[in-house]
Amino acid sequence: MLDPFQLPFMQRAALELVLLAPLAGVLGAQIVLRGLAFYAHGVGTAAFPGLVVASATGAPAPAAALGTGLLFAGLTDRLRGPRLGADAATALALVAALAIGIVLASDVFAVGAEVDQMLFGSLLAIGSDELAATVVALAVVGCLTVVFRRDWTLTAFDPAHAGSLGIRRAGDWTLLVAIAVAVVAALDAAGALLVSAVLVLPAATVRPFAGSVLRLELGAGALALVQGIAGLWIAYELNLPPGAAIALVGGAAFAASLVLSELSRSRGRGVPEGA
Amino acid sequence: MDAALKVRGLAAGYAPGVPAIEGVDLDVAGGHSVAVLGPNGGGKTTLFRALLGQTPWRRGEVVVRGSLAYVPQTERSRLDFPIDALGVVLMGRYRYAPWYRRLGRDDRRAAREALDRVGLGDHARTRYGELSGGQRQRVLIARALAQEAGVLLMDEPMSGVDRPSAELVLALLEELRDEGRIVLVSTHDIDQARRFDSVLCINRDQVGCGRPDEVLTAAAVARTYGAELVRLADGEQAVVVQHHSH
Amino acid sequence: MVDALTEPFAHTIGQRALLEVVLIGAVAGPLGVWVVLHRQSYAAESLAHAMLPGLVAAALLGVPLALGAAGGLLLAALAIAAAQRQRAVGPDVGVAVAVTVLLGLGAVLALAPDAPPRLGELLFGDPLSVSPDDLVLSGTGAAVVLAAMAALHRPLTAAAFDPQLAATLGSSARATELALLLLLAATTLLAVQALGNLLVVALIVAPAAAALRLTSRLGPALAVAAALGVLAGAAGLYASHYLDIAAGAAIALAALATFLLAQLTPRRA
Repeated sequence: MLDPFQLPFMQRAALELVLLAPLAGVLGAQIVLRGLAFYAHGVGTAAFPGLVVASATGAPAPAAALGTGLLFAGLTDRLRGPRLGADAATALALVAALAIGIVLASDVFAVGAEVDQMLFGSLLAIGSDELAATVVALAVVGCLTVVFRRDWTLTAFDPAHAGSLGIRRAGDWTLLVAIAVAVVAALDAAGALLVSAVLVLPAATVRPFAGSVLRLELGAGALALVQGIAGLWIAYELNLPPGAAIALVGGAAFAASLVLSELSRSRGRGVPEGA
Repeated sequence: MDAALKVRGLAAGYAPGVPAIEGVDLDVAGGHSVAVLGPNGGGKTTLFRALLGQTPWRRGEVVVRGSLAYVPQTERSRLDFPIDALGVVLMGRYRYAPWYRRLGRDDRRAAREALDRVGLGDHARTRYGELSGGQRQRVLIARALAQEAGVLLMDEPMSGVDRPSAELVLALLEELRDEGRIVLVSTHDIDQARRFDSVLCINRDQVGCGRPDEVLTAAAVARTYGAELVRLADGEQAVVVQHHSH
Repeated sequence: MVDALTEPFAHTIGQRALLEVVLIGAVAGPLGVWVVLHRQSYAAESLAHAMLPGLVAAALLGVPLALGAAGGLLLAALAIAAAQRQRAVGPDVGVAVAVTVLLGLGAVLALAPDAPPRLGELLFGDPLSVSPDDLVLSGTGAAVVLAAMAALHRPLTAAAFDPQLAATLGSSARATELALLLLLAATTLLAVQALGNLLVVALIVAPAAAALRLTSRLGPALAVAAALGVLAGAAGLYASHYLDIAAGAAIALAALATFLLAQLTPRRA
């Protein structure tokens, strides 16, 4: 059963998943606590045109992806106003990224064959450059986390109080940048459309059983690693795209957690509400 | 207009076991105005929602003669919505036209008249979001009029409204009452409450109900506001210190 | 000049494509106004994205795409409803979970070794592949959705303006919201062939957002959105023909262009 992991490309893929686990833990927790799942999904999707341009011009892919991802974040913030809800602004920016990406890919640069990998990941093709980029992302997010984690958690719990302490703005902004960096790091593993499989699913699965932010972070990180390795193995054995396999394993875990919490709820509210 | 509202021992709220309001008794005939006085979170909105059938009742009995209309707080409504003042008032006529029928000339006339009544006939075509807070409040009252409601439930109609507009709204309420309607207004302002025929004080439980001079005693107000009451002034006059500016 | 205008539609393929985008543009525009006003843009995007497994299954089995789309939408709705039962996470996170898992399922099916290589078309659409049967479906569906929107005009107005109050005005906000989601699903189903499941949302949200910028009255907004939807569809086909770019993406970009151009008009108070 462990045979596949003797292969160098499987070892690199597994190492990538190990590096992503802390990101999925710390930022997954914040995404779930703050309801930022659509932001993460949007930044991932917005990275798609960046990946296309990078592939065609030879520019570094993580930089290009981060560029278009952050452009998306800024654009969404710009577009929404008193007469256009955040939901409509997000949807517009997101579909614009997809349409521009596909026109660039199929008609301008003709990178058609790689589009599937950009959208759904290429975990089995990870090289040392990609691993190095993930290490950098881990370092950046690690620094931001050390400095701002308390602010993020405080803001998630009580925005008004955090505002009165004068930390609201810096806290929000740094969190959004940290999530964008983590999304870009997860692109190779899960692809532009499936980054949530790594960053959102584990934390959402663990959330009902985590009594503290720390436990949520640890649980989500551990689950991200377990479901990642399981998805990778299944993808190898059944010849499936690994990012998609990870999403399905994550979905199964979420379904199991849902059944479990429904059961304990029907059995006399065993799980304390909001615990 | 022959409206009547009878409430007996009403308890209501979402969580089973802990009703948000309990033991509410009220008996009003047409041509009567009632101020529902209580602190924020004391159950005023729950009472209104229970009367409208939007919050489950736990116990008690409610009898309404005449239809109910609810006038929400203006800051809760959608200012970005592409609709003019007349369009908002016309909503009051929706229930009179089945879905396959367009709103007719009668409906438009009723809506126009209602707008004229609140003094906004000239603003029929102004976008709702462009009106001032007081004007929006009057548009919502006009909608209740267009609904031909016998019982008006108004949620804090004077909050977020400038002083002259508040006076206009109060005068309008007195007019509507004199036509035989029942006007129920929630407020946390004791001075405003004095201007109504009756006052119902609630802070989860009903603290008192009756004429303002009977009900608004220092003791009752203290029980209504609990710790929010900080200072008593000249004799029987109670003063609530406002923690939030309105 | 006239030649340049008619040339893309000289052949039946182009004519069918034009008729198809005119039909869906005329429906998606006004529906989008309600979607934007009811703040349901996430639902529009999520339903469309999450229907991928149904589309792929239809392509694998060789059944009509519309059938697969209907199955995919049903599965998406059930998955979203199930994920949202997890009250420990917010509704948005529940939707994101369902969308991610279903996109993954679609990719697994589509990228399996023996799957036909149609994933690109399913994701990004191709109005030039519309068949006469598809046109009949689009025409009927468009008529039904437009009629339903007209019948629901007042409940949709009341529920968007004042959800708390809809009940006292004689309609149920929850039933209205559900009806809107059903209309949204029907429109998505009609438009998916031309635009693909990733780009459908452009034709729903962008002309509507543009119309709401251009006019502050509801009736005109609905009409303007329909006109802009049709315009975006036709302009997209021209752009696709003369610039030689993918037609689905060209229509999506044309729809987004109407939105951006509308932003250039002076903001009314």
